[in-house]
Parts: sequence; structure tokens; C-alpha cells
Amino acid sequence: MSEQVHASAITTKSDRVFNIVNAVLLAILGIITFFPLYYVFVVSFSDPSSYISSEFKLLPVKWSLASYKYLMSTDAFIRSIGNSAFLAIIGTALSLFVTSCLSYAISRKRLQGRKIMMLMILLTTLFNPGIIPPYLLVRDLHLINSTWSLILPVLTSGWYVLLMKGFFDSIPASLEESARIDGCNDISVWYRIILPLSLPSLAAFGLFYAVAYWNTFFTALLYINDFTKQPLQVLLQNMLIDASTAAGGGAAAEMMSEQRIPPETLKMAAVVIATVPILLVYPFLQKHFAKGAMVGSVKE
Amino acid sequence: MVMKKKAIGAVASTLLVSAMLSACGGNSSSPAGGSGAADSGKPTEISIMTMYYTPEPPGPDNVVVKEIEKRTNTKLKITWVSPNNYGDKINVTLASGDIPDLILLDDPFTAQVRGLVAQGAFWELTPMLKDYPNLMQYPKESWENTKQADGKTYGIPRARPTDGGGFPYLRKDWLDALHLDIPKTTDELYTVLKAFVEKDPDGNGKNDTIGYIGFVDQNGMSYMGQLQNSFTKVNGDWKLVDGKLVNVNVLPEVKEALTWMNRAYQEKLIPEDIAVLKNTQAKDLLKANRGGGFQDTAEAAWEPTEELRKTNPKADFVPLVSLNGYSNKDSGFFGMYAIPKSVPEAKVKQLLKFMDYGATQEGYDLASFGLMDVHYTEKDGIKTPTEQAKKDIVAQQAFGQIFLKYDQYLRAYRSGMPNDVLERNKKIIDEKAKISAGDPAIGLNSDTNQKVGTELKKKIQDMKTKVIMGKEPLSAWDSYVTKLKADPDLIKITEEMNAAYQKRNSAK
Amino acid sequence: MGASRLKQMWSGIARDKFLYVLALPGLLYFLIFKYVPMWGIVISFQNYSPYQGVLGSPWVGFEHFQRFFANPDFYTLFRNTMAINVLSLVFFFPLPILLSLMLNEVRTMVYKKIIQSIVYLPHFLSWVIIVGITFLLFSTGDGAINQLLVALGFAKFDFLTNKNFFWGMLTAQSIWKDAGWGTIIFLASMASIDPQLYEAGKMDGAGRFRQMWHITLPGIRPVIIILLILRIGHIMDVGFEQVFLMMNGAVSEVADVFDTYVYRLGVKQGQFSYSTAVGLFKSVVGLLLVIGANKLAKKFGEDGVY
Repeated sequence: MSEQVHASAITTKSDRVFNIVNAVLLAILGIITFFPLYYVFVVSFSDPSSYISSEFKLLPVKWSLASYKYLMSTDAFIRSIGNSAFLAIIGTALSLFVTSCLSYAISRKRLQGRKIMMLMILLTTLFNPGIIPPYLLVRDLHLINSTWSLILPVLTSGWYVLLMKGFFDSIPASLEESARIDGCNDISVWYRIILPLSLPSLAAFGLFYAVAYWNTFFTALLYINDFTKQPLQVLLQNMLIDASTAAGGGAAAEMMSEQRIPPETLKMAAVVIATVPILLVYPFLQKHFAKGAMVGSVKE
Repeated sequence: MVMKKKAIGAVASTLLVSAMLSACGGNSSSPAGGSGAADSGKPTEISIMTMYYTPEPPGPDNVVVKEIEKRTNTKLKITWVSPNNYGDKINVTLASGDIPDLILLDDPFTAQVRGLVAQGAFWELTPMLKDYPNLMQYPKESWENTKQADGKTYGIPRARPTDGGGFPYLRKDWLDALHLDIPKTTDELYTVLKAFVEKDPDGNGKNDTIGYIGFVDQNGMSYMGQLQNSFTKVNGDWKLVDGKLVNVNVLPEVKEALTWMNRAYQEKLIPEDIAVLKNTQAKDLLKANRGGGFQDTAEAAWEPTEELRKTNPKADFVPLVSLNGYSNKDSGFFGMYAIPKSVPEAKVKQLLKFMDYGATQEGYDLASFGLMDVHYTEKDGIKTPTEQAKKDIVAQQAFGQIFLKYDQYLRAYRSGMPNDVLERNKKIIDEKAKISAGDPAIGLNSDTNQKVGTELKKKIQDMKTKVIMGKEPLSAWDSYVTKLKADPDLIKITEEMNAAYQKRNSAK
Repeated sequence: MGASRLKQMWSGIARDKFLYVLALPGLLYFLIFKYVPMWGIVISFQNYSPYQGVLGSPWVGFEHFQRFFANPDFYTLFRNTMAINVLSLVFFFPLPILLSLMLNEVRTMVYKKIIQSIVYLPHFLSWVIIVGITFLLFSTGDGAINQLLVALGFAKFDFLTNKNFFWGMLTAQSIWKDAGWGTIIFLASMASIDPQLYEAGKMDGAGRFRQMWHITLPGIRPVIIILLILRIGHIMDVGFEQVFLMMNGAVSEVADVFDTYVYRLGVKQGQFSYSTAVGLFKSVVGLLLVIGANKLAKKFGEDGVY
């Protein structure tokens, strides 16, 4: 007994060295990663006329909220945030539910036909028919211009189903069996054992889906015609149209003359606006990525 | 759960069937309302698809939209599409068969559009146009250059001026400070740029000036384009030599251009980052007093000037009239509005009438500027938008994309520009119009070009970029040209272009 | 014989009916939204026009594939695509694993949270921004790095227009952008490892490294394997936006990949059928690779992707 306590209480010298080296390396990585973000942040608060995009400076020549004010000045701005939030919340909830259910099911070795299902799911990640067939389908389902056209066609990602299966694989069948022996029915097993053990993966994939829905852009351009339903990214990108990435051919020269190129500060402010809300979500999920967070809870 | 299963099952099977059916064809489109008579009685319903460049597109209750509906007795259903991925939107629209009455095709000569014309997707407008005097006011070039391969007109062009388009402009105050005249030839220009770089014209004691902020991309010579054209004397890739079209890249003129540019690159008269520089950075350099010249429309020269004048009232960017006697004559259009065949003939006439109204001064002013004293104030013939215009989304970048009265000085004015600059620009445009040379190959079609043209162009440009930067010696360009001349694709393209050229000429 | 098999099957389905119910919504989704539109792939064998639709467009058999393989650039595209992806597999793939192992070992929660939050942030920046920052740092004219080099007495270096650097820069950018984000899935996986295993390990005298090697790594191995197989299957896919933004005339021979090629032809020239054919080629190669990788994984006793 005392030996056990002893073993876990001692931090050996090698432990300490390990900790320090680890921490230092991570610090370096942190700085390298942080710097460009800092830059984006700083540029977004720079005064547009005095900011020179080809010159590199650590602090703004002149601080200004002009870019933010401009981007937030349209009535559409708040509305589009609402639209994106709806997608991020409802879409994520639905996607996570469908994905985890399917993923769990195919992770159970006893399920007949699971190999075919997995193969079928895998194929969807490899083969892509382009934008026209999905568009025609969405149209035939009368979903054009509906917010659901931004959720249903992208409801489940084959990658995530297959990856999540890996997580479910590590929940041994024996746990389920002993629960069943104790008298639990299927739903109860699902609720009392499976779900609690999967919280880390649910948190991870929930985050992935949330980010994807929040950043909805291309599907909205194609399927939504009513501007009031457009998500945030569409609005922001509209304000940032850059001629150099637009049309080709004969139209290019004329396009160059038609566009007003937006200042870099505006682009950066758009990035910050689009990113901050999602950043606020992560801390709440972080605890699920802690070591051994959930395992203990099921041992009874 | 069970209910859901059943419902989904039913839906799924219907879907499979209907999806198969809808895959069948694109042109089973919806008839776009409206009978024949529109003047008296029911307003004509018109659906339009077009681009917008304002942060938000006008809504259906937009002030200007409503006013136009009133005056033309129409009910408008406008689908405003972001210029981001406009091409994709067109493609899905065409595929779905729900094509609006008036659809903006941003490039009338893509393989896609040509194919559609050949498949009979659009109305041929040539016989009908004579009844619409205001539309006919558009310059000859706008109509000529939008004719398709068969010499017929399939759309209403968005007319743009032929002169005043992107061309080099220079710092006049620096020229004055260094006692130099406005250069008229590329040799003189070289001397000027060298002086800009070496003689510290902005007097800040630093050798940080770039003579001319040109740059290229992989599609073409881009912002170095007109400099090249000053050697080839033609505003495009094809030149008439002894009555036949030849691709400029095999001509010695291009080699001259590349030699000039290579020297300029080595002496740092043009940016070291010529291959990667982007538009915003170039403009910022100009605003930061570090550039002596750039290529842009006459009115765009005002943008950096305005900025610089905040600290240096003498700063002045002046557009050049010509170099080597050459000025660029542009195509005269930026996209065109086509009418799909699904629209009944009687309605086509009404659509034309609608667009004809847009070509009048009244229609155009309403569309681009809105209501007088509400959305703009007018002084000395210059209209200045008010704050209300922004709130109501009234701008040339919105409805002004649909209605247009031709203005040859469109490229002369930008709001905020003082009168003297405007007058100078107008004069420059007039001078240019006298000598400008266009692109003899606009609108000509070559099937091989459609298939491999972009790739070929990219390869040629990649080679040019390398030669300019000195990554490949000029001798390499010579061998490349020899190869090009023997390239079977280019030979075929040249043949086809010439055949199309002859055909169009004889069709006149 | 057949009857009893069938009976076995049905009783199995009855027994597992809850599982089938769970699987149903997802499977329906895939059938409706993924498989129904798959008809679009047949246009690889046509000269498709959206206006004429699938039934109205002419058939051309394997013409597009022949054109694609006969294209003298095919080899270049293939080489570039493979080079960029192999570099990514070798250099990028292990990093999130390494990083998550390091993060997992941090004892101070606060420090861990801070570093974690920082390293995953670049994922949110679009490629437009990242390439923009790359230019800012590495451009020849005003780039910060070159300014530094000059100040230190060295000559300027053309990072962005030098073809020997292109692939390296792409890899470095990917690492910077997504290594942190990639740790999320591994950290989640590590969270599921039974802490008693660590206790037992410590009792046996295992130091930190050995614990990592014998407990943590094996614990996340299933996820690593699945991810690896999926990545191998997508080896023909290179991030279009990143390459598109970084490519320029000076590095053209190393920069062009399948996706940029398809973009030029498909989007810009409306050559739907040709671009879909190229896409189909990529998908088939990817499929073969996945099957191969999956078989290999199974040989090593792992649970594959299917």
C-alpha cells in the first residue's frame, strides 16, 4: 500500500528534466504559431490609409477601428451572424447525432453487413460528381433558398464516421455484455455506458462540425439566393472581393477596372470577426481532451 | 423513429426517380410569366440574373427597383449573384433549366457560352434591335465585338468605353523635379524609370523607389501587359501581319519587350517580386510614395494621388496618352445580357424595350444614382452620391450593372476627383481615341483554342516570366519561339483563327 | 443450406435491430445525398453540356482519359502531386501525434490550455491570409526575412520564386496551419486511455518516455491507423487553394498539380467532362491505394477502415 503511494508521489529527476524540455519546446512552438496570428490581429486594427501591405511592422502605424466599423455597418451583418449561428448550433447537433449513431453501429462487430456499409461510406469520400448533380438534387427536393440546403446535403462526413468508429472500437464489447447481463436493454446501454465513454470524441467531432458549419460559404453561394439568409462568410467575402482571383479570359481586363480593391486591414478584420466566435467555444470543450477525463465515471 | 423511416423511404424512392428524370435535360425551364401586352394593364414579370459589387445586393423592396418597376410597368425578380464564383452559379443555373429572362454572361466567349449558342439556347437579337434606338446608341465596337462566331448578336452588351482603359501612368511631379518630359517611347520611359530609381525623386534620402510597379501572373502579362503591347502595337495576343493573324509571341516585337523588361528587372526598375506581387500591395506601394508608375484606368490614377496629396499636395499621377505611338483600344464591353430561347418572342421584345429604357439618360441615372436630392446632388454636371445612397444600396455597382447609358468618359471620373484632373483625363481620352489600336481577334473562335488554349497561354507566360526574371537567358526564348512556331496546337489555332477572321470579314 | 443461412441472417438482424435503427439516418443520408448524385460521374464519358443534360449530351467513351494520359504534362502533374503529398505524409503526418504526446505530458493545466489554444488557432486562418503572410515574410523586395539577411550581410534569397523551395514551403505552411488542429483528435483519443494503465506502468518503474511509448502510443494507434489509411487514399488530392495561391510563373514546373489543372480547364473553360474524367482517375487511384493500405493494416493485425 505504501509502495503504491510512494510510486506516484515521487517526481524523479528524469521526470523533471522531461517536464522542462517538454515545456520549452512547446513554448517555442507556441511563439512560432502565435506570431502570424498576432500580425493578423494588429493589421486589423490599423488605419487603412496608413497601412502599407508590403511593409512589415510589429505595431500599427496608426490604431483604428475603421475596418471593423465598416464591416459591421451593414444591417446584414448581425443577421448573417444569426444565420451562421443557427447553422453552427442546429447543424452540429444534427450532424453529431447522426454521425455518432452510425459510427457506433458499424463499430459493433456483430452487425451484419457492416463491412459493406463501411466500404460504401469510404467510397463517398473518394468519388465526387461535381457541383451540378447535387444542385439538381437540392432543387428537386425544393430546398433551393432554404436554410436546410446548408445542412442536409452536408449532414454527415464519411471521414468522421470512419474516424469515430476507431474511437468506438476501443469500447470493448465485454462492457456492453456485462451491462446487459445486469439487465440493461439496448437503449440503456447506449445511454449509460457508450455515451459517457465517448465524450472526448463527441467533443472533438462536434468541434469539427461546428467550425465547418460556421464557415459555410460555397454551398450558400450556390443554393441561397435570398441575401437575408446568407451566412457570415458570404457577407464578409462580398466585402473583400479581389479582382485578381476572379474571372479569367476576356473578362479579366475589364474586371480589373471595375473592382475597388479593399484594403488589407479590411481583410484581416474580416478574419478576426469570423474567427472569434468559434474560438470562444473551444475552452468549453477542452476539458474533454484531458487525460483520463471520462474513463473513471463508468466504473460502477 | 418508425414514422421517420417510412417517410424517408417514400421520399427516397421518389427522389431517385425524379433525380434521374431531372438529369435528363436542362432546358425544360419554367415559363417566365407575363402575357404579351404590357403597356397597359398587367406589369410584365421579368427575371434577371446579374452581379453586384456592393457589400449587399439591393432587396426586392429597394427604392430604385420599385421606381423602375413603376416607370416601366414591370415586376422585377432579380437574382443578385456575388462575383465570387459567378461562373459556378451560371453553370448550375443553366443545368437546372430555370434560366431567368435576362441572364448576364460575364464572358460571352467561353467554350460554354459558344456551345450554348450553337445549341440554340439564346435568342438571336440582330433583326430586332433596330427598333430600340437607345440601345443602338452603344458604340459600334460594343455590338461588333460581341457578335458570336456566326456573325450574329445573341445578347445586349454591357457597354464600356473603348478608351481610357488600363494603361501606364506616371508620377508627374517626379518628372518635373527631375526635369524630365513625359516619355513618348519605351526608350524614353526606360530613362525616366532609371532616374526614378537612382535619383531619389521623393527626396527622402533612401534608395527605395521602384520605377514602375508592374507584375505578371500566370494568365498573361497582366499589369505589364500594356508595356508589352507598346512593342507589339496591338491590344491582345494576335496581330495582323500581311493580312493574316499571327500570335504575337512568335514575333520579334515580343522579344524586344522581354529584352527591355529583363534589363529593367536587373536594374531594379521593376519589382523583384514581379512574379508574386498582388494588386493590393502594388497600390499600397504607390500610396507609400515608393512607386513611379503603374498600369490602370485613367480614373484609377486618382486613387493613389488622392492619398498622397494628404501629405504632399504636389503629388500627381498622370496617365500616358501613348507609348511608341500606341494606345489601347478596349473591347467596348464587359459581359452581355442574353435571353434564353424559353422566353416567348413577344416577351423578348418587351425585354428589349426594358433594356432600351435603361439606355436612356433617365433610366441610367435612376439606376446608378437614384433619385435627385435624395440619393445624389448635382453640380456642374457631376453627380455626387449622398449617404442615403449607400443606405438604400443605390450605385453603379448595383442596378447600374443592368441599366447603362454609354458614357465615353466613364473611365475619366472617380468621385472626389477635382475638376482639373477630370478635364485633363477627358482630354487624354480624346487623344487616345484618335490613335488607339484594338485586338483584331476579339470574339474569334478556334475550337483547338478552346481545348488547349489556356494551357498553351500559361506555358508561354511561364516562360516569359522566367526570361524577364533572368531565370532563363534570352537565348532560351529564341529556342522556345522556334519550338512554338512548330507546335502543332499553335499552328492549328492560327489556322482556325484566320479562317474565323476571314469568315467574319466576308460576312460584313 | 440457403434457408438456414437466411434464417441466421434474419435472426441476427432482429437481435441487432437497435443498431440498425441507429445506423439508418446516416445510411439514408449517404444514399440520398451522396449516391443519388453520383450519376454525375458518367459525364466523364461524354461531352457534357449543362444545357443539354446527361441524356442529351453526346457520348465519347474514353476520349477524355486518352487525352489526359497522352498529355505531355501528365507526368509533371503526377510527380508534383505525389511529391507534395509524400512530403506531407512524411513530415506533416507525424507532427500532430508528436505534438499531442508533448501536450499530454504537460503537468500544469493552465500552461497546457494556453499552448493548446495557441497552436490550433492558425487552422482558422484562410489560405489567402496565410499565403499573404508568407509573402510578407519571404518576398524578395520587402520581405522581412530578406531584410534580415541583408542586415546580417548576406545576399537576398528568392524563396518564393525558387523552384527548389516550393515544395518545402508548402509543407511548412501546412504544418504551421494544421499541426495544432490535428492534435485535437489524438488528444481526444488519449483522453480515453485508462489511467490505471499509467499507474501500473509507474509501479513497474517506467519513466515518462516508456509510458508514452508503451501506453499512450498504443492507446491511440487505432486512430492513427485509420487516419493514415484515409490520407493514403487521398494522396492524389492536394489542397487546391494553397497551391493555387502560391504558384507563379517562376516555379511553374514544380507547382502544377491535378487540382489546379482541372480548375483551369473545368471552371475557366467549362470543360466539365474532361475535368470530371481527371477527377475520376484520381478517385480510382485513391480507391486502389486505400484497398491496398487497408489490406496491409489488416496484415499487421489492425482493424482497417472496412
